[in-house]
Amino acid sequence: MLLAMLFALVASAPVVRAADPENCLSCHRYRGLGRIDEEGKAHLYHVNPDYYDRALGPHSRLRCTDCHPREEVEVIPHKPVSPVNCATTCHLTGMGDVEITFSHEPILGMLESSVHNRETLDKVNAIMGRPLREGQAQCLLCHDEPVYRRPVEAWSATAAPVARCEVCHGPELPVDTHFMYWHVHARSRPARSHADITRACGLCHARPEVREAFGMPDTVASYLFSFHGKAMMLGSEETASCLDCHVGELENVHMMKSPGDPTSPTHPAQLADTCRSPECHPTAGARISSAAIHLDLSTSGGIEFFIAALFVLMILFTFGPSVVLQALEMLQIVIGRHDQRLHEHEHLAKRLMADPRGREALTRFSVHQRFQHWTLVICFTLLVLTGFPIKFADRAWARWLVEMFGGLHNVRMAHRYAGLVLMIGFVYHMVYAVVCAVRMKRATGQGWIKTILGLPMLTNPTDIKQLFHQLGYLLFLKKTRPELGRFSLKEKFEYFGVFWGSMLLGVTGLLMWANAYTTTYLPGRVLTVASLIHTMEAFLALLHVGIIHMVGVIFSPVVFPLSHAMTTGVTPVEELAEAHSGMLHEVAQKLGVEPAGEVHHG
Amino acid sequence: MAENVTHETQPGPTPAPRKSFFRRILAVLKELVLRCYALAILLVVLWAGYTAVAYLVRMVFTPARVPEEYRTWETALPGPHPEIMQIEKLAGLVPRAPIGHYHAVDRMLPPDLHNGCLTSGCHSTLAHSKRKEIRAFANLHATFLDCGMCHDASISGPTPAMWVDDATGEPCDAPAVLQLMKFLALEAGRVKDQPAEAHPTIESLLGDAVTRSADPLLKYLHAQISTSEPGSPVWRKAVNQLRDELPNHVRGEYGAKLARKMPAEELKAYHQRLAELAEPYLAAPKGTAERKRLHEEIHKGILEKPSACLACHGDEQGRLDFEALGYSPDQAAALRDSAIARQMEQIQQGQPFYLPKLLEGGNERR
Repeated sequence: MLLAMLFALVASAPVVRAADPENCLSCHRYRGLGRIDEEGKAHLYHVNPDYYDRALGPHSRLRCTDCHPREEVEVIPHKPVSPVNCATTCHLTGMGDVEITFSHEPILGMLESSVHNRETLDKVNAIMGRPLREGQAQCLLCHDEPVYRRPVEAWSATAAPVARCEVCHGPELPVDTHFMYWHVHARSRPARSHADITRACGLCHARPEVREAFGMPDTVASYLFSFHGKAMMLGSEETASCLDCHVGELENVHMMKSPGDPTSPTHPAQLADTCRSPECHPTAGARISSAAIHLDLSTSGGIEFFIAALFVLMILFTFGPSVVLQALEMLQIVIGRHDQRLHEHEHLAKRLMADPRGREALTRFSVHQRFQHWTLVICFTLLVLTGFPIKFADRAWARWLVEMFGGLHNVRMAHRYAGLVLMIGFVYHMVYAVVCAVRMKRATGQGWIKTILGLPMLTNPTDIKQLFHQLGYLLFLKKTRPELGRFSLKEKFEYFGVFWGSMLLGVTGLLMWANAYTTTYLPGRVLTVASLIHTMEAFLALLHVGIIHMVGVIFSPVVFPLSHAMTTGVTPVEELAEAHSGMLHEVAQKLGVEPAGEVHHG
Repeated sequence: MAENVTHETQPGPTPAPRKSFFRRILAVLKELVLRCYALAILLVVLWAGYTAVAYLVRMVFTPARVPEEYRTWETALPGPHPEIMQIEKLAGLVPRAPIGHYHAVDRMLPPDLHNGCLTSGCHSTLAHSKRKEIRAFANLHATFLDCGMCHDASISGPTPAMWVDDATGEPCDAPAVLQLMKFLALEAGRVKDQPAEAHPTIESLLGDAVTRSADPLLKYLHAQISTSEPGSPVWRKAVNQLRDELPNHVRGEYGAKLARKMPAEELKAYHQRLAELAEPYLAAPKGTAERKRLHEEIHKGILEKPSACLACHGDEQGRLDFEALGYSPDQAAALRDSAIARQMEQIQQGQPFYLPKLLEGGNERR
């Protein structure tokens, strides 16, 4: 009678795929099939039919009893099910209904000779609080991670091409097209993204307890800090993931060796070949291997740390005082304090501006200079927009910005070519400065040294005096501001920053761009140092331009919404009166204008 | 008096001083805005400067840290799931299931937020745990059956039932998947001979099913059917594929549950009452008479031992009219006379059941 009932059961069961010949899914397809034990632990017996119907898993062509011993599950209620042994032999139905026997036992052999051997995995399991039960396959420590699941969307993505396969592979030429397609497709490219691989490795390698037990540094953090890691976080699948370096060329991932093993691709003797593999840096020099991939600045203690520390100090001693000065300037406005001679200076500026000669003499930037500045503005903006998303690759805004540019490749190209234009502009400016110096020398008849020292963008002892005067005014020790000339010390300092920064950023950028040539002649560590200097200098430049310069020329209430000095060349009266009164007096004197009188024409 | 008149007839304050006053106010306001703006810039400059320098110092002098996104990765390793024991923590959450890779289980059973037995915090989503023989099977029904359908002592014999939407707790139509299966089964002739007439129903029901399940294959078939001419080879192929596919979606995950037919307010009030009574019950010390009294009050009219499986799956006169609830005649017949249910009855009587090997099929679809 029971037999008859089961016949009825099978006949009445909804359609299920052939991979479930035992018809276990007639019950196990229900999500609610499960229970909660006395300890509050959930036991879910649900098996998603999609796993079989849509070949969503690697074992979709297996019977349930290939993994779960028949004697345990053939009886209802089932006996307690013992842990699955992945090294057991299972039976696949191949093409033409030919049965194929298969086992993962060779993989266990590979693991045993790898750094992830049984002893290591046992130790990890213990450190993690024994998530794997006694006898449960160690494979699950990695392979039960969500990373190894194939979502239903993946099946959907293959549905369209598979439909083409089924045009021929219909009833006359039956093939499990979904499985075959996936089998080939999955092996023709990496099955998992670099981000997923990093996450999977990070489950142990980023876990403090595991790192402590094995004496390992936080290699995941240092990888993510590296250029490879940042590219990965920005969606690049071309960059190196953990496996690209730590698994030998065309070797099985389960054979990963320790860097101390001479056969490991990360062993010092093998590392150069690993870096120069055809997929990575084939044209690089052998010395590329000394570039630091897992660099942690704070613990490295090498030259990289000292360079970074030096930059931090430089930023503190240059940017810090600039911030204080800028804040004090704003404070003057907040409390409504003005230079006692401000109205007098404003009056003089208005009178000079009313005269065409005065207006011309007060033009602080020529068309030529303005053109150079705007070229710099455009290049700088583009460099910031394409450079800083790489620096802050872990932030959502960085990924958004990279997407806006159409991906990391475009961002890199835009960054490199904007840098190139900036370098050309820098060389052009040097030529321009030399021409100006030659003209000045001819006009004044002075020697070269005096001419160069007299260039308006260079500092002189008067600037230092004026700086202290300015500080005295801002700290309420003096009642008047210093009478600054055409360029204040602040502007000269900014000019020097651009000058120095362009050189440093340009040279380090070129070293990284031409990394193959660099590593042919120089150690790979130069790339690490160049990358660090490039980053820190870019940071310094952004801080000065973004916080000090932009507030001064755009956001300051004196000039808001924008100082016209760099658009029309004419500096606003208020700005002239407050920040360039020395220039006003100089022009007035040249034109014979009495500070309180009228302009004398002729 | 004349002077007074003169004063009265003189024009009042001239517009000029009034304008001047207005301008003064404006000037004060302008100055205020300017100073506030300067203060804002001052604060932004200080904040940005501090943040930037602090970031740099951290970057250089403290060990590199894995970014948040990579630190909070999911881990599949199994552990206790206390969330499912406490319903308040479950609200709005669909926690991850235990080990699931090889069974493609990636989410826990969603809780029924309109069920007083659960929302009270007394019972979990998988409430049955005592009787080993049937606990998992009983829990299986939790996704599509209200507790009362088996545990209401007043139910006996054929019982009018209705579908209740899980999201709203309101009565709703039968799940679209069931309706569609029924339509394709009962109207097979019309689908074949008058496709244009059958098309709107198929398209509409399939659209509802897609909205509910977001299944990619149903979505694909919906697109095929919607964009092809009814009766064309493409349309017929898609409808045939749909007919084969739909049974795979009968898994009890409809977003609706079967409950005893009653006004929606009455059903809600019932569950609300359970949740309210549970509060003093849970607050009362264990073992007290008060706690016992409240327990009895809550469970008044509720069967601790539920109705037998055969009450619904036993014979023609079962508790539920499956066809009226939207099932196709074939499905209804299978549910009415379920071999599994009969088998469960046997197992409950202590007779384990062994699956015979000869029933295993080949690689054909069944």
